Amino acid sequence: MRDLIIPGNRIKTELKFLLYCYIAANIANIYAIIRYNTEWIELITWQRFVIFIAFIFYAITIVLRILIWSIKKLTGASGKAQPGN
Amino acid sequence: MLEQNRRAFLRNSLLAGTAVLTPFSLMKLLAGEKGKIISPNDKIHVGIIGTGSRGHHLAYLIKEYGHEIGMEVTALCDVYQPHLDHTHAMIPEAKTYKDHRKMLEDARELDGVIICTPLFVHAEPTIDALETGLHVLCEKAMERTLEATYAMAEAHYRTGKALHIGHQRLFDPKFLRGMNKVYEGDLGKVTQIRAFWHRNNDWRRPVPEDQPELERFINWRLYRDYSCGLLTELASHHIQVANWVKKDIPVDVRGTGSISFWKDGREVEDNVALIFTYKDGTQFIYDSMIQNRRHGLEVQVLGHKGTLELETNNFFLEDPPPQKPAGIIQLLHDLEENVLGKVPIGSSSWDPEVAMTYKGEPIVPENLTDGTWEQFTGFAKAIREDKPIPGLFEEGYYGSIWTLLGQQAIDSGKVIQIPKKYNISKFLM
Repeated sequence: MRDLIIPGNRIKTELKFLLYCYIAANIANIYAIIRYNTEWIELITWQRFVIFIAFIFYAITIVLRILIWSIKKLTGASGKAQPGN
Repeated sequence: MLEQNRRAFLRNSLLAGTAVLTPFSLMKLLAGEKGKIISPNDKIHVGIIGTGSRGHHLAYLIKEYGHEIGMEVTALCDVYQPHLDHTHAMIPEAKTYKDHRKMLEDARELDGVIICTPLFVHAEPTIDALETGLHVLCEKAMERTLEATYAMAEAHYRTGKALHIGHQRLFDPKFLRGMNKVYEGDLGKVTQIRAFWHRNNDWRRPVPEDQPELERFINWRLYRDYSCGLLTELASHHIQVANWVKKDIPVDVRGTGSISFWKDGREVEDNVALIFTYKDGTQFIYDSMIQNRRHGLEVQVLGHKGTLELETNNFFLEDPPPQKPAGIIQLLHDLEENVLGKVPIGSSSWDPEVAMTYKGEPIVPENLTDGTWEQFTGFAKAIREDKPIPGLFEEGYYGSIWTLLGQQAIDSGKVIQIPKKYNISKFLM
């Protein structure tokens, strides 16, 4: 079996996406606390759920990026495009 | 009123060390008569009659914590030498006696007596001590028979000396606070009280192999001449609590019991059930067994607005405030509804009425004590002030009387009411 090599650049990009997703999940939590007038302590007590939401957001970005990459491939856009870029 | 007295007492008991003698009590003190008022700075000397497991435990508590209330054990009495030696080894400075009458002859050195003998020998040392002018703390239940129980009451009222019965729940903060909730109406109308006490053991104490003749002496709890078993040793506590909740005594009791598991020659039931009815229609349902301990012990006070579970320090509202979900859950729920819309699903025509999952709230924030030590605080106060705490004896008396009437109901298969002669309201007029 061939070794899979993930370039450092790609790891950096994926970590950035994950960070953005985590920030987005926290913003959603803050919005929900304000909108539904619940306790601010939920920012801490619901962190496990926020992290779970962050991974869901991240999964959505993967699907979207594959979709965009596929469309570009089909429409003959510049050949160097790869999923996630 | 009784509750107020108790709360005031508990509050004041903290100030026992700074109590002030009244002119009247000072006169009694100067007169040097027995029943002296004791200065808060003086030590209270108590004797323990009966140094078996309970007596030894209470002696240990006084030895360890007695300095908090100025109490110390100076005399020990037991007819069974191994028990006497065991407790004497813990408190070697105490004088030892094999006959309580000899101990009471030296009563000048004593201010109070704690009775931890087997049930059927509570009355004699209690009455002798009261007549000697000593205050008495006697373990529950009061006695094996109605007549002996009544004789103890008569001696208490005749001598004016305190006779506290070992119902420590009267001093337990969660029970005190729970009673306030009942009286303040937080439970609504209380129409049912349920209590149970379940264990899983044979309830036997080891008998020396070379002295089988001591079987009835050591395992007196298992024989009808000396005990009513689960009723006098356990149920009397919860019967007292039920009367306390209702501020009343039952109208009648019915019951059943059997030796259904431990068929080892014992004479007392190992499986009992009683129903006490109060005049407002409240039912107090009690059961006890010693072949399953899944549910342990509990007293449940059921009102139309709420429930108390006193032993485990819980209070439940019938209609608890709705629990608000976390904001992010509400957000997701709204998103889901907006995206998917509401899907109408027919509800079932009948839902199983299983227990509420609502976890309730504690009656007191910290459940640190069962009232045993606080009971000594009350006893010390009664000794220092040379007078009983109002209302306390009556709780113990009726708890014991209705325990014995419960046994009568089991034995006869009839509905039993209290004979008029055992009503002690005449002493309170």
